[in-house]
Amino acid sequence: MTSDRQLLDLAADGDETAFRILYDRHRDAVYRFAWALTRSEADAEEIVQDGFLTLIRKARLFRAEAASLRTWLLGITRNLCYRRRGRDAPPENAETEAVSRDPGIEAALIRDQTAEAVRCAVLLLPEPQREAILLFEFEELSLAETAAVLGIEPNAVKARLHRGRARLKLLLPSLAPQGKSEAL
Amino acid sequence: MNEMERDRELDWMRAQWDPPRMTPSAAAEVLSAYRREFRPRRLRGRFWLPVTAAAVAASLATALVRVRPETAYRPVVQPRIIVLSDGERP
Repeated sequence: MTSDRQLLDLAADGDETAFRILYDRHRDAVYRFAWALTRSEADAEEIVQDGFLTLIRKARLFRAEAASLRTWLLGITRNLCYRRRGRDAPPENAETEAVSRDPGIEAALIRDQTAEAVRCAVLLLPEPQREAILLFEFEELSLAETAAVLGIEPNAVKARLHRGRARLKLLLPSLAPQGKSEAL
Repeated sequence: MNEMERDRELDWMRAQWDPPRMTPSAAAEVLSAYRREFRPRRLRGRFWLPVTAAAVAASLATALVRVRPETAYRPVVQPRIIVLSDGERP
């Protein structure tokens, strides 16, 4: 299988087939991350486009020995999401946002729409926890990769994950396995 | 050790995780945007270079034909000689 590095170089030289392979390989992860940060499908689609074009424009800056292409691409995506909202990172007070039961979660649970309830719960997490949970728990990046995307130390990621997991279990207690729900 | 395990208690949530997907039209738009911005670079080398080379070669050939010096050859025009024999006299 052709490596991301090779594909990126070819795509930067105008090879559409290489771009297509690269795009098919990473677009879903990029889109899910953009969607979770913006909470908007339309915004996420625009960010995916901007993200991939930025990737090709900056292809010469990519160092495969420093990070995987997906990590780099997710970092670009994150920057685009925050830049779109006129800032560089989640707001300072985002970690301390109060946890509340979202009406969307309640409605989804009543309709027995578990997937929708999970979606609502993830989107309800404060941004710092949401991005950490999404990358580590759902996209299955390593701790080091998650830290690289978020631009923070691995220990800070651990703290966000701990708080994010606890909140998720609190938001969806009725769905969690019996007796395993953790208090915040 | 810096590594951390995924939370097994969230396995059920991972199984239910179903975020939206990109629409096909948006995916196609990304490819079009790529083509608009990056594809011409490739065409410049692969298409326009040979075309330009052929045009230059054609111009050179035309110019060469035009400035070619005239040769010393002249068509020979023979004077017309009419011989009248006696037998033909009226």
